Amino acid sequence: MNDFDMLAIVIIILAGIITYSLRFGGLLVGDMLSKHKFVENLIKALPGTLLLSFIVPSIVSEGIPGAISALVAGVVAKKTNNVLVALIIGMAIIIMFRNLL
Amino acid sequence: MKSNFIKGFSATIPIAISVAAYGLVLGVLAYSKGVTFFELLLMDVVTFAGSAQFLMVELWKDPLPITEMLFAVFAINLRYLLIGASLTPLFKKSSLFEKAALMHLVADENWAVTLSRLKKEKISPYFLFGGGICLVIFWLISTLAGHTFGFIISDPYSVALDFVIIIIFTALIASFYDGKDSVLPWFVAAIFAYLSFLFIPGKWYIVIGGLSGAIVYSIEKHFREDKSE
Repeated sequence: MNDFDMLAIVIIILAGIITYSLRFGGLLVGDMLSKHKFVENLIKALPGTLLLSFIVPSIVSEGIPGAISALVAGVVAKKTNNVLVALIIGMAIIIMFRNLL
Repeated sequence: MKSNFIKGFSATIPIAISVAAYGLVLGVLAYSKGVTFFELLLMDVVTFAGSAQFLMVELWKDPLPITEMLFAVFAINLRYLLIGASLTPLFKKSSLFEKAALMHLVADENWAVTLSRLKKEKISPYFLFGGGICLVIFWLISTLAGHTFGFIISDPYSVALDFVIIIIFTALIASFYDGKDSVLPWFVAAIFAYLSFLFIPGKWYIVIGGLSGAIVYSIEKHFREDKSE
């Protein structure tokens, strides 16, 4: 079991190195990329589109309740500018669907 | 004037609370998979990436599948290249050393909070770093608590712990809504993300959806500006 433990530590450290390289690498490459207008717009649009892509499969797999809860949370967040309020309302909707319906 | 570090730290607290819910679930899962307390602690500090850690824990078995695990971590964290690139404006005045030192604690959550704040006011990279410190504290406490007291949570599904992150991200996406210009790019991103999710294994759908939507936005802007000239 000692070998297993050693390997586990090595894997965790390698995973850390990979992750850090991507974080830091992106910033370095970004320095070069941001000199072009097209790329600058691309980078500007990325936060929204990346996050959206991240959540789409989960919302689809959750079905109608997921869509309703996400939509309401999104609108509330936009109107109130308060993530916590949006979170509470969104969670209330999904918990209600899962437990009552 | 409050320092950027403090501002970033406190602005990240609401989302860090929801991250803690997620961390609690990870801790419980890690415990059930036989990940030790120290291994989880090391993962929290060295990797510090929620979804990658979930993947690693899910793949955790004896013997450890080193190639699959590391590739999974690479694939799921590939988005950090884009996240790093999107932070370029924030780090414009920073030295290379400052960049190297502050980038480690960048996660989806403090990145999103920082970028939406950057649209409204001038902030320094220490806002981002303050958010990172806030997250790492909540992350350590929650994952390790989950690992230690995992048996208490009997039914994470009915309290919808898994959906907390989704709602949080939805709320953050709303803050990036840029009027009519966002509609087509977001539609394209959603379609490409879902199709990639169905047909391409792993977490590539995040990168593919994100990039395709952003490319549509760039093209849209390119033509709009041509017209106005």
